[in-house]
Amino acid sequence: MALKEQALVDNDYKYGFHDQTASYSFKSRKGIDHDIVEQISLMKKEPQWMRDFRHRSLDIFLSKPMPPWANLELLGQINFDDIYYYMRASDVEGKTWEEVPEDIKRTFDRLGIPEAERKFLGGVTAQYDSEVVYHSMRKDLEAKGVLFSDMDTALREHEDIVREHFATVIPPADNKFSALNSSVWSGGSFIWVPAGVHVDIPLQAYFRINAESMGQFERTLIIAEPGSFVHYIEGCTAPTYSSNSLHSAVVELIAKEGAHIRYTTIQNWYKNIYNLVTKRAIAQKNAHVEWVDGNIGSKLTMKYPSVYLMGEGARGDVLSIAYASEGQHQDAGSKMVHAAPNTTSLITSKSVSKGGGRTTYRGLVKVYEGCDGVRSNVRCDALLMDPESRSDTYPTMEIDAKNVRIEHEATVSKVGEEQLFYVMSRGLTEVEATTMIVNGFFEPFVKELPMEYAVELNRLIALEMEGSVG
Amino acid sequence: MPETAFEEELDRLAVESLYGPDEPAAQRQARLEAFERYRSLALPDERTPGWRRTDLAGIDLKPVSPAHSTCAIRISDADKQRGVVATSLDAATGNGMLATITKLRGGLTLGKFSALTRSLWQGGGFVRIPDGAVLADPIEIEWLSGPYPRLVVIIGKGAQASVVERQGTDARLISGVVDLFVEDGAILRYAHVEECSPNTVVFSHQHASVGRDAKLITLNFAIGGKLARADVEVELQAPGAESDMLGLVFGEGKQQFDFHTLQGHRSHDTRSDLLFKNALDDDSHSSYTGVITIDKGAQRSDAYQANRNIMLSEGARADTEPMLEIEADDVRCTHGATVGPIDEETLFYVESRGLSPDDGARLIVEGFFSEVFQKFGDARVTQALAAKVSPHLIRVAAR
Amino acid sequence: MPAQVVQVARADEIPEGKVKVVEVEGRRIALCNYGGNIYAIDDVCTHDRGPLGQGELIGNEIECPRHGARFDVTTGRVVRLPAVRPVRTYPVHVTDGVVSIEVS
Repeated sequence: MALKEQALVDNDYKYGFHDQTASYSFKSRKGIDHDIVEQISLMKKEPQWMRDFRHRSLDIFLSKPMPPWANLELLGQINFDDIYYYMRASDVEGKTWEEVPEDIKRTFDRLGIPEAERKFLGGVTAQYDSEVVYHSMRKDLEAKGVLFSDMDTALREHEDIVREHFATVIPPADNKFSALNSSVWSGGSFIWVPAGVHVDIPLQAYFRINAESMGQFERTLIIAEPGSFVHYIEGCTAPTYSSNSLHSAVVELIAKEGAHIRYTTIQNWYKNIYNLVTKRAIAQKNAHVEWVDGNIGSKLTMKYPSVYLMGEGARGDVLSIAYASEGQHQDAGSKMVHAAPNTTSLITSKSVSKGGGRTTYRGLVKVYEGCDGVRSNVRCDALLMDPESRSDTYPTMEIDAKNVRIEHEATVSKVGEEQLFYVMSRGLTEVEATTMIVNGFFEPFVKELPMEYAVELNRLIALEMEGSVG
Repeated sequence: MPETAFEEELDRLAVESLYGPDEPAAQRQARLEAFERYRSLALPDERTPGWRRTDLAGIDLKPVSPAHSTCAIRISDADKQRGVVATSLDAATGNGMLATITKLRGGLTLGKFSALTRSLWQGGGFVRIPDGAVLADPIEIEWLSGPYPRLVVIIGKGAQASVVERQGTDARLISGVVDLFVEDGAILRYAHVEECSPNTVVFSHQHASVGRDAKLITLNFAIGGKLARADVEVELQAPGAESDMLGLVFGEGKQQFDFHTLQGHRSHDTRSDLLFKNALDDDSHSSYTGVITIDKGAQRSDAYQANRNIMLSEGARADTEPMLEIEADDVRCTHGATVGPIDEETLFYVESRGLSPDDGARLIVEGFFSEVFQKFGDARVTQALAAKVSPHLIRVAAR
Repeated sequence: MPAQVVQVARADEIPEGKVKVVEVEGRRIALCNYGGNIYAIDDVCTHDRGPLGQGELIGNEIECPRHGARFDVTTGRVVRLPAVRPVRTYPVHVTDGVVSIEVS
């Protein structure tokens, strides 16, 4: 570990995913208070303004109640005092392969995940190395002037840019969990794309998550200067295990005039995890933001990727899928706020509930006064695989402008008997037929994913339909 | 009648004595429970869930002292021959009818104003259509006075009838409650016509229970009031039960219309359909929340819901929140909502037929509403309603 | 309608960096002391229509306590999400230690 650190530090690369914490003696303990927050900040050698920001955010977190409209039965089970809010690499590496749940190991087998990757996904190794892949990507980005690093490094090396944009999209007071993240955030990605630059290959977080709290309270900030384009991918379809059960990330995207940001997430956290995320983008004049969001894992996910359409001609799209099986609740949705004329939003949400799983769609389309020429279309479809499962939809529209076209449609149904019969009559078993139908249902989403993700997702769905996994 | 201020000292004793010593025990119990419920809730303000977008400036929600509510119930002679009973609710109670109903209801979660009315009502109206009766003419109920109008309509097995209830008060605050019981195999058409003065705040809680193979078609027609709020709930209790819920709102000035509907599927093999259409002019505001709930085991339920809003002016505001809570899987459920101005293409088409833009716009809004009238299925009722909304359309402008 | 000038508070009731909410003509207005000067804005966050007055004054910006929206009290300009519309301001006059605002 120490040798590798040395090598990284010696490099000219602007990107570094270093573990700066080795030099500071931090006593990892459960619970959250100003002392922990202070230690985190000191250990990271942060500027005073960030330290003050963290402390203030902690006060806000402690003063906010749980959201009354949420699944309080599940949320109420979180014991905030029984959680580690920060862990270093050395703390994490204490885990052994034996502790990784059996069902996860089985899925790794079935999906054919390589050995090294398994250890990482199982939370057994702190860092997944893909130096080779990384080198060529980094050279290309450097040549274009693109900044891509983890958030901690960005704060150190590009403080001005960070300070200008940090928490301007999601203030700590936005909700209880953004306040929590704001006080103990660690890790996450920082991307800054200069004006006019198109980043052709998708940037991924997967290969560079390091020890820093194993992705627990990630803070991501992506800034696309005018006319630029970037596609960022986080997560993976393979199941990921973490002994930290509370994950609360904050993702802020800023698409300046004419810029285009696409943010793809696939989340397949193990069923012990509470995944409470705040994701929001600002789209300025003629900018375009796309959230492509896949929710497969976790015990409870609460996530409503949003776009504030602030400049004329801006566009926001959300394409999301959710899959909930026994003991899971995917509570997802989106918010589109039209604060300028001639802006467009498109929300497509598809969810499947099986074996007692529960999916919820919560959405808001808000059009402020004077925003003529707004077009918004929301389409939510839910498939119930059996009588035990449940689906709820709560979309809201608040329209204060006249010359707009707002449409919303939602359907809830089960897999049609006729459809199933037809497919089976072509020689497929019921499981194969059901898999085909569910894959077809998710197709609009899957076709937006890079190939290897799409392939893996389809395989995962097949496993789920078989019922042989988790 | 001059309004008296609501006394905070109105207590159980006073509530108990509203009917008189002969009140059946079950009914008195229901009255007192409703009163406790009323007292346990605060008066709504902008912070209350579901009230955030309601502009309460200059609106006084303080309730009025209890007073007798009277209505005129018009039944044709032919129908009287068929044995239709129409009387005050007080009198019906005396005949033992209400006690049975109170027992049948089961727990309802009451809002503040519906709880108020269920505890303070006096007088009221009662209509019972006997089993098998197929009525020749619509029954018309017109409220004449009283702050807490309460109506109960029971339609017997296999019977068919249309009932129109009209509220046109100019009082400051009115809170009405309607209970509809549609027994097995019956078909009831019920229209609730709200034409209150521009100074009135009018609340209406309509609750219906539909039996086996029975059908209920309701139409909420609202063009009056300063703030009109209606909670319309239909529960499909047995297989074959069907409900069509229709709504029509025309808003102008600073009117506000809040509609909350519930399509409750309590049994398997039930069907519900909802179509609420609003046309909003000037600075009017419509807020619609529609819930479809399908209980566990309510398999083979089909539920549809659509809320359509036409914005006729820059100042109009529309909120719509269609909600689904589905716990069975063998169901088909769709809901949809739209908001937008008069469709340009349709407008050009009508203009190309020689109409002026404004006349064209009026025609389009009439056409928009006609679907609702047509679905109600009783022209004797809907022709009169179309005539009521027509004069308001004169001011509609194309752009 | 012509503007009315209404006396609302004594200047010494609003220490520097603090906010005082008063009611004028049925409206709630927040008086904010930034750098020794008093500014008056509607006590209504344009994001959720709830009160702003309990929020913290950070320099010339008031932060809404519920979701973190911010407004520049000197101009009413909206400075931070989730609010996207400015808040209304009122001209303020301070004479002999008495604060008055113009409402129309």
